[in-house]
Amino acid sequence: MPDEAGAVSDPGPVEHLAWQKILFAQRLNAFEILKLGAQAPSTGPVLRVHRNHAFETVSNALPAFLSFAGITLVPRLGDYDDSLSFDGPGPGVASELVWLDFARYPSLTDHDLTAWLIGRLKALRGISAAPIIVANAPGRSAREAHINDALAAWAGETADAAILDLAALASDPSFPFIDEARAVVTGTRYNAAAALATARALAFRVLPRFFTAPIKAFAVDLDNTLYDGVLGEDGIAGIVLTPGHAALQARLAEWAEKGVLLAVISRNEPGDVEALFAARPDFPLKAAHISSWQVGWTDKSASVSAAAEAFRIAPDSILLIDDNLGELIEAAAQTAGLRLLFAGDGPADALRALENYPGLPRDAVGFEGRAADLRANKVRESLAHEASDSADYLAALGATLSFSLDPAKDRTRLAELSAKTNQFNLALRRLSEVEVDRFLSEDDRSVVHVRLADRLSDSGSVAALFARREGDSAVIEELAISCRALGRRLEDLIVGEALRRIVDVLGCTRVSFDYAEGQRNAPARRWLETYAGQSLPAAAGRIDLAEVPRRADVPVALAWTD
Amino acid sequence: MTSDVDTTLAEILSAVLKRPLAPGETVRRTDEPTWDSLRHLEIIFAIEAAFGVSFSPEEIAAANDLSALRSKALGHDAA
Repeated sequence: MPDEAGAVSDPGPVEHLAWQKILFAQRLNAFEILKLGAQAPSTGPVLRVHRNHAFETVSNALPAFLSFAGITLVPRLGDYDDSLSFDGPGPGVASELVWLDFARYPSLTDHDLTAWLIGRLKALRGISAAPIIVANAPGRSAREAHINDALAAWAGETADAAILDLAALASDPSFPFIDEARAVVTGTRYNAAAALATARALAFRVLPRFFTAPIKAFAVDLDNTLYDGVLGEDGIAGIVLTPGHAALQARLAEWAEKGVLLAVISRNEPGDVEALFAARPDFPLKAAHISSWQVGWTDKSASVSAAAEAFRIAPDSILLIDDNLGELIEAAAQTAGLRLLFAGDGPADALRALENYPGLPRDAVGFEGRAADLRANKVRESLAHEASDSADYLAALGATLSFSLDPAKDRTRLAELSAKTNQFNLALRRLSEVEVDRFLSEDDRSVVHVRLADRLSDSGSVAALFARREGDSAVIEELAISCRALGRRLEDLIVGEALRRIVDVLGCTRVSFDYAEGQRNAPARRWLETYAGQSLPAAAGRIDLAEVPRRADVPVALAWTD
Repeated sequence: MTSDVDTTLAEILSAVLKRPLAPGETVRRTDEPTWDSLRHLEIIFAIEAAFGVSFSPEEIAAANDLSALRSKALGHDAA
């Protein structure tokens, strides 16, 4: 709402709790959204819309959804242009949206239409490094399927490209997507309800991939959130698993199996909770799905912090799901950036909010095996404690490092490593997929992707090293190692082996590292100081290694897979 | 009943036109510099959502003042 000076303040997470019921409603309501009073920012990064029909019905509703998602974008609508004659990169463009009504090309065959469309999208990629989002065709005719298949294939092979899936929205039987009769006054055949659903999908499901940090963990309350009842009062026998709660639990279990970490955060007696999960085989969510138990009588904020520490992630990567508004507010007040989901309106509403929540790692590829890694960490810590020295520890670990040089198929994961690692990210360049493509394809650049497994777990993709030749020096412009690989004393080995190949392939004799100071990357900067044997002279800059590292003689299997 | 309708209509017009509305004020599109075609659709869609009514294309084109919008919200033909 405007303050006395007329300025519009951006609502925070607590205000957004009140928006949840409206923005995640099964049937979105334009009046309720209007009453939220969300305002589009007047300046900021631009969402440039290339279109041949009206987008205004969508952009009217966008501010509320974008605000909830924590994304600042200013839609800039181009003129109607069936030919998609793009007019250059454009200042301040952070994302491109192609918004076409394909019914406006009746004279083109299916093949000619898709060939022309893909050609134009490639031309757009050529002039813009910003993420490109394309709305597909909202139907299931053979022609629409042909268009959508071609778009999906293009998005799959194109850096920073995504589909706004209107076909999926149009499959909702609760409203007709097309309204031919009113197109003459609205400027689009897509009806008002379709516009709202499109705004939500764009802001909650598509744009967060490019503009928000992913949710890596759920912190979930128990009483009246995952079941009906209060364990401490009703006892195990009095706990009711309604169909709605069962569905919510099943969905959480699915996310856990996909690699999102789960913490139970409950004000209960630990023994009661342990007995509950042991005694209720009907719960879809099993104790094995839970990677951290924070059960006791501390504040929820303290429990969230403890879970974040156990997961080695920042608290702002956690979504707290709770039916108690007061506890959500307490946790939000003490934990900057914590994401909140109010479950007090019942499990059906909570599940719908969960399905649509912005920032869930729907397309992320680096989440598998996280829970297994966490379980294995306890064993690793005990191995480290028992080992007489570092070599003894590494031998006990039985680690295998697999390296690949310039693996084009790993582009998305390489960009994720650069964009989403925090503690061990040396230069914080946050490379986009388009920028990663340059390292993969240009002669004076190279990238090494590293996977890690040991006898306890397969951690998968854990590190990326991006290098560029400058004179006779290989400049490491970015080094990112996932927190999953940290603590195993493998950093020197990962970097050293990657560097040996990099200097060879780039024809260099020296190595330099770029670095920058961020809020959380002290571990990476400390590592560099030790590795280079010198203090970092500034908050950001470049330092040279005295010599190219030799291969270390350690009991770790090293393999190149390219 | 009609008081609720008037309150809701005032809420919609005030939110879209971004100015407070006085009780009983006559509001016409021709007098409102911010009531452009985009804002017009925003008003129409909000009224449809608030009152469960549906405007035909002709009614959308003709509903250019508070009186016509009120008539439609009350379930009468708008124009």
